[in-house]
Amino acid sequence: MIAFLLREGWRNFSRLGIIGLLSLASLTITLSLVGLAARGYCLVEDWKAGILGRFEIEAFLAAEVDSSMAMEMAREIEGMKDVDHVSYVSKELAARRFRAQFGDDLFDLLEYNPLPSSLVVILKGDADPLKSWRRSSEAIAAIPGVDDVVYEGDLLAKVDRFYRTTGLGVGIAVGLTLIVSLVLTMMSVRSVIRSRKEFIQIVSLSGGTNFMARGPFVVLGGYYGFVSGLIAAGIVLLIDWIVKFAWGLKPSMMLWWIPAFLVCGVCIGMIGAGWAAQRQIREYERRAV
Amino acid sequence: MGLLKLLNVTFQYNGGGRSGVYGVSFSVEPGEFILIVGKTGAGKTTLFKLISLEIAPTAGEIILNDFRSRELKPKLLPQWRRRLGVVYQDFRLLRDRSALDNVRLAAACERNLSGRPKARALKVLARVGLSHKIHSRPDQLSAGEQQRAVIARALVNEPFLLLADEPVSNLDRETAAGIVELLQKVNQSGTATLVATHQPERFESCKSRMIKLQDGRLVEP
Repeated sequence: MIAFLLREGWRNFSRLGIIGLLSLASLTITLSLVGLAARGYCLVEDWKAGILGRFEIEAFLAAEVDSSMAMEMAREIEGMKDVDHVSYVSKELAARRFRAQFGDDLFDLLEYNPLPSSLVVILKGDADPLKSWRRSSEAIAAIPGVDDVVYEGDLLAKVDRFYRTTGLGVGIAVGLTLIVSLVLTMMSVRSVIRSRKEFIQIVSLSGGTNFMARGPFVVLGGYYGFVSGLIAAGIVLLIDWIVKFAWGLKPSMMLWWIPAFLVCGVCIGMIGAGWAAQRQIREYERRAV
Repeated sequence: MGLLKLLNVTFQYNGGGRSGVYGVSFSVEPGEFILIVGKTGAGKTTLFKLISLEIAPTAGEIILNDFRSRELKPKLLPQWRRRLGVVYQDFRLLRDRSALDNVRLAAACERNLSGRPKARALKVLARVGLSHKIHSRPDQLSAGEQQRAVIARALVNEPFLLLADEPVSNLDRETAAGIVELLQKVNQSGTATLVATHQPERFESCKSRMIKLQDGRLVEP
């Protein structure tokens, strides 16, 4: 049965007309766009992780907290779910950093070090930006000995908003191109079925099942998807390679993308063709009676 | 019990432009050769479409072996059709494939017979005398050869009943005689044969029963 379906599907595919080429082109464009969108999303993810990695929560400690107590508090904070690591900034280290940045004027004027000691907390890159930062800062603020907790909430919210908006936009664009591609595949397969009406009649009247009449057209969609997936994988990998080369990054071929494209293409092709075949064959059956 | 029974079968086309069939009843016994005779438009093709359930009766019932058309579930329709072999008036050979591939396509629809579809197709093509033309496409075959290919396609799944719709109407006398002889041989091998024709004189050599159809109704021959 599989040999029959593959042979008959290939027979249809080998007679690719203009509408077939249109379907092939649309599927290729769709898969390329989906691939580029996925690649872009990965880049945004990397960028987000890089940006968030630079943010820090600074917990200023009360004056009575000495270094051993601070280390104890640091261990407690490091045990929290979203925390990557904690570093202790003593009063002296804070003063040295202040002097390096602003000079000695303040200390000369006050004649003592007014800067508090603090714990600098870095969260994990994959943590949900807004929720985990708020949750962690609240938990840190509740630890006895912590005077104040500071982090860049507004900037984080902007990064998060940009990330979500980009994700939504990409999702909508991918969804729309998928729908357009499915419709074009359906139209293409329906036109093939119309031109192969006699095949369906012969199979049906020779005692072939509905699956045997419909199957070759579903396989035809699979062939469309396979070829489109192969071309699209080539396009996306080439663009990815060019972009990386232009930015001076080390070019790498993500070979696992090729089977992903093929599976995606075959699924879209077969689903579109399956719908088309079902509708068209039902229409013939209705007309017959 | 008969192989095929039509019980008061009626079919009326929508719109009423084409004549249907009305209250037709007859039966076919195993191994019988029956001529359905009538002028063009008498309802012969409609009758064959009804027997192959290409169209469903609007009234009455068709019984094929132990299957009843009224109770037949859609998933059993292929089994009904595998018991029939149909020879169409307009051949309906697929132009883009050879005689062998045309027959092989029908053979692939029946998986319960022994032998691979290709082997069965080759065997039946030899039986109808087309061994030398298996790789020829329909446009490379004469009308008689096309008819033989169609008969081979109808026989490849070893049907109980062969339906032949005007099998000699487009053929010259000599070619027609060859097709009649072939249909006789098929019948003598045990396959019940139902032939629709408006030229019954061409089947004079056959031991056959005649059923006459006029304006969709059976009349006395």
